[in-house]
Amino acid sequence: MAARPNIRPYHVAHMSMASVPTSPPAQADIGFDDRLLAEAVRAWESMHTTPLDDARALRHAAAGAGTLEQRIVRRAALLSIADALRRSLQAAGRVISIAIMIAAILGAVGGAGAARAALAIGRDDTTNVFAALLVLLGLQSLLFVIWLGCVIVRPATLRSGSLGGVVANVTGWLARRLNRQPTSMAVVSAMTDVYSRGRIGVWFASAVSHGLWAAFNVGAVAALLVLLSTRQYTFTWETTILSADAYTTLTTGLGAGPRAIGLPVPDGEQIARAQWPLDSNPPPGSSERQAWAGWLIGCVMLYGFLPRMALLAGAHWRWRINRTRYRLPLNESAYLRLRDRLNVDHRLTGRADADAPADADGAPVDGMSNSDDEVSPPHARPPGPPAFVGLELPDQRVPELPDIHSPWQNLGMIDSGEDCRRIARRLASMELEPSPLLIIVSLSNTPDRGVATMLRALGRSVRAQPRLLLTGGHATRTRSNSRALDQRIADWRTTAGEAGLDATSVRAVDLDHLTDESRRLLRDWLDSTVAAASTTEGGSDERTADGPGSSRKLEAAFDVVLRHVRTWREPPKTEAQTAMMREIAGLYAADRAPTRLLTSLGLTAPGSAADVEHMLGRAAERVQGLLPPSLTAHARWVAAGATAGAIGCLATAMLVWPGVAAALPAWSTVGAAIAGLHRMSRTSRDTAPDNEEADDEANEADLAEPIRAAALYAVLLELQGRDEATISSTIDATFTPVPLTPLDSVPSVQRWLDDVRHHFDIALSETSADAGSTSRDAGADA
Amino acid sequence: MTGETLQVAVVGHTNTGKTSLLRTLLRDTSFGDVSDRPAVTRHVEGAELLVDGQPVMALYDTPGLEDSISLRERIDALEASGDTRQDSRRFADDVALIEAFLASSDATGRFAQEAKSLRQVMQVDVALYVIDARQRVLGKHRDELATLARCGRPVVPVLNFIASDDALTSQWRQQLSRLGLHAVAEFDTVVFDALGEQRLFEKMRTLLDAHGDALDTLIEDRHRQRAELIDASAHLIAELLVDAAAAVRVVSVTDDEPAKQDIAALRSAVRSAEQQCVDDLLALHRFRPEDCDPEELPLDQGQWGADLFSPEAMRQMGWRTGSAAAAGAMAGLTLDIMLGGLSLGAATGLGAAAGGLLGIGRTHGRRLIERMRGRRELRCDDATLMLLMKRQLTLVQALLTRGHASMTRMQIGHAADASLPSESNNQRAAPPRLPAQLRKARLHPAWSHLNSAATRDASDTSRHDVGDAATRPPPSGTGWGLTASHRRETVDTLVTTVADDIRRAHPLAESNR
Repeated sequence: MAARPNIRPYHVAHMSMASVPTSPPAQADIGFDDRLLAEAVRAWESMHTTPLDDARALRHAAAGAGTLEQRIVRRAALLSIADALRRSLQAAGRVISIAIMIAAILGAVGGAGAARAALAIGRDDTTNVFAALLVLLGLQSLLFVIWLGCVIVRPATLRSGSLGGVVANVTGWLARRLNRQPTSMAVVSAMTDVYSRGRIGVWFASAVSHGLWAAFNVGAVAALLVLLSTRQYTFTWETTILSADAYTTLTTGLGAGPRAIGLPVPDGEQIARAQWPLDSNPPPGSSERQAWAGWLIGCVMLYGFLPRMALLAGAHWRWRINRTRYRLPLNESAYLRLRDRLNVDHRLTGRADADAPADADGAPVDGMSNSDDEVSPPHARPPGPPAFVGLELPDQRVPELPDIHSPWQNLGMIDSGEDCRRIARRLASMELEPSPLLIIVSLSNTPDRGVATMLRALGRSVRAQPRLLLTGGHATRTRSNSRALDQRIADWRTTAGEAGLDATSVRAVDLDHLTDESRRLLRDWLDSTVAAASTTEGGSDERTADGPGSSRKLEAAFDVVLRHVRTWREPPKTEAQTAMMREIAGLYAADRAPTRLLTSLGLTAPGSAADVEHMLGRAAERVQGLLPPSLTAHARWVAAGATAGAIGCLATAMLVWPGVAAALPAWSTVGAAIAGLHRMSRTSRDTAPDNEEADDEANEADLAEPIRAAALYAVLLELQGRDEATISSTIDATFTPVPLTPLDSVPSVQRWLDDVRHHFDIALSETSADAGSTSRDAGADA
Repeated sequence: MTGETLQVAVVGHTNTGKTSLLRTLLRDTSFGDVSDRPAVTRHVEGAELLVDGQPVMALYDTPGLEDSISLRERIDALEASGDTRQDSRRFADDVALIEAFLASSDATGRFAQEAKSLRQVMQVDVALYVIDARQRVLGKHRDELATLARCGRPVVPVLNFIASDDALTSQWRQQLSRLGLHAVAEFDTVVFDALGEQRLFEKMRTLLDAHGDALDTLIEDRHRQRAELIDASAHLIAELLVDAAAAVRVVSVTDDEPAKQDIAALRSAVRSAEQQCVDDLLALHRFRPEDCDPEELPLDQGQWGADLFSPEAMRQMGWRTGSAAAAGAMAGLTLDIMLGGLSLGAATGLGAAAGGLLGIGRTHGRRLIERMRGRRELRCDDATLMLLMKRQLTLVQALLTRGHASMTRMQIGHAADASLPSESNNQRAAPPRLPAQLRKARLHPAWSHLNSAATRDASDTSRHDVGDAATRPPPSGTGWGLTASHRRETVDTLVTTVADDIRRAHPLAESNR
């Protein structure tokens, strides 16, 4: 099993070789500068709303191997803007270096100045040696302690590296001043961002500050050397509250360091004699002065300069480490958007079956291998009782079928090829021909060639064509939607056609949701002989065969309603409602349904504003008249009927007769007229049993009435071409079972419309046979 | 190198979701064609899963086995014919039999589609046999499994659509174990479950010792990717929230009613920021906007159906709408009339570190002056911000559990809504309290990309600003470095909060982390 099959065709290997791009030689680790460039590109992109033309860079970056970060860096480096950004980055780096150097020189000068000032502290031409040391080391020691605290304790204000941010900001400001390229803004922003992220900025700032203090100490030591070489100073010390012993100990202690590196330092006696006021005899000798000078210089060197140099080296080292550890912030949205385009976690390798013969593309050749067919074509035999067989039905319970001329024979369920052969043999060997043979399949199954093969096998075992009943439509619709159901029905019809069944032998009836009407229709279909069926209907009438046909627009109309509802923040004005209805009418324009609707309502083109008002009233009345009693009992439906009639007819008229717009009074007038119609219909229904509902209606300040009116209007258009009684009964069957739920949110509207559509489907399939003939008649009349 | 890549063929009856499985494994909605119809895929299509740019697994989508009953009969007949020959042309084993079949004329004629699948199976290390678990175990399935068994490759059955109510999972498991197939994976391509994917890889691992490392790498990488995905989503949401919380329009108030254009400007800025966030989230989770009509997500055409500032949006989340006063023209907004907004962040301000005091003094001082000059600040109210957060969280949670091939409606909006319409407002919960980070962000107009440079610049607030979110003003003036890093710090802590929220809603998916 582990052995690789030897039939792997050469092209697969060949193709993989070709499609795997050679990874770039520079697969080596990406450095901080590369990442900084990527950040600069990101900053540049965030400042310019137009995206960079980066197709080439993307292609190259996506092609090779590498992690997302490597790809991002690679893309950044390949962009055309990269060169300019790189130059700006270098320029900014130069500016920073220059600024640091200037600061270092200033620091050194400051150190020299401090040394000069320090030596000048003291009385009567003497120098107070401890005050001088304090001036030179005091401030920097204090700042050192604070720095140490910041690094060790990491207070919250420094956590995000604000210090580094400040430094970067200052230098960035400098860079902007010095280099006025358009890219420098992006570069500064990127550097600020990088330096204030993580601890790079902290260590950079530390290194700079230690470096400056080191320069300060260098300046101080140099100035001390110059001044102490060229001038004669007398060193003293004095105290008020401390004991002389303390000073002796302190001086000796501090002097230990300088003594260790060979500098002369004062001994105990010399220290004692340097206390102010000085005894005049013996005056301080040159060795004594040299000892104090050596002590002072040594202290500044050892306790100022050397530690700063060490810290500088340390901070610099930490800074470099943090630079190499820096990673791009991949969760920034700019990088997130790149992520998908950079093709990080998968790639398509395309068609892999190119070795298959070219003709294999088309429809599979139907072998119809009759050779292995065990079922012999049946001889003529007298018709017998009807028989049914279930084909791969989802549940194994026996379907309930309407009685026809004789009781049904249950031939069982076909689940496998073996079952199919067995049943086909049994069918062929029966004394009486099953009349008809009904094959029941579920719409929840996908039709395929295997099914077609079985249908053919069953078909060969009887002389007349078997009937194919597609059940389970409702379940399939709830699983997906009605459009998918229509598609599924069409697929089954195609498969049935391939298996040699003509269109009239196939019908979609949901056996789980049979009504009296659909049961009657099913019985008629099953009872008619195949010959009769094929001559009378001829398979041309798709529309009536299973309700929803190709010309159906209701889904689109309800989509229009939903779309408008989404934009409503308050009950819509008349104008908005008219626009919506007009859009719905537009959907049906090709079927001439709008014209038919106007004709059926007995309307003529209005010439004046008064005509329009009259037309509205008449249309409202007519549509209300179409409503079945079960609906007219509800004040809400009466109102919806009036609206559907008035506004619907107005919208239709505007569509059909362009002249109407001229005759149209102001929208406010139309609105008032329609409100008047509502009042009229309401008062006329005051005697209706549900008065309390009318009160209710006032509270229902929602979008329900316009939506119901629109749905009613769409159904009306859908039903055009049928006679008035059919329309009325279909409206009854469609809207009566749908509860009057409050329609106050888009989902609730959607649910309600789904419900309406569902019941409309059922209503249509129940009346399909009648409606089919009437539709043809009406079409002929019109 | 390519030889070491684990080769996987995805096979199955027609319309069981083979391409959907690949889409979900690849996180790529553009792979192949998916439709609820038979024989959509006509060719073998390949794709590779990469880890750090290196191919780890090659997946092949194959055409469905349609006429599997006849196929098996044909191969049986071929075997029988070989048996009768009694010479060297007898088939040594099943694999040889399949090879002979693939060489026969049937393999290019009647069974061309099936032959493509079988040919691919013969070339791979393992075959994933995808099953629509809503269907009963039928003869065709047994025939397909028998044919696959003859190919001499390990087969892992994958039960698809297990999240459906009609799924017959246990029945399928029984049947499959009778056939000796115990390493069965459950994987719903519609309702994605990270754990399910991991288990699928683990099942494959039990059968493929040689490729254990590759599969381990893949499992680990998927874990990491998911964690990154959640963090990245949280980051987008946090950015949006900080932008919205700090968004301010300085308005001139004469009669306690800000001008309509100010209200409209603030609303439209926040709305478009939300839309941008939604777009980014969809892109991040690799859903193309055209893929996600309401069938897909709680979104409609890639947008939230209900307007952010409408009471409907609040109700959808099951929250009580704001007070009657706020429901009118000012719905969702608040006018800061307390002295300089001190009420807003007094607690935050006083408790802040010493370093922050300076900034607060400056901010509040400026506000105080503005107040005296008859100007006030218009901003989103707390409820709106929470709504903004909740909506994006809902979206992310929906996105995390969606397969990349889902074609049915997500009921999230309905589920939240279904029980509510009849209830009175009192039974709804009040929106939860604003997180501390956002209360802090309130104090920093400079943090919001929705404020134009004029508002951000503390020195100049005298102009009305109606800057739009599309053109982000570049950072200007000194102090930006500090502002940016403070803002980012706040965003980062908010990201942690939001990511925890997301993870809490998906304990199962993250249990192994």
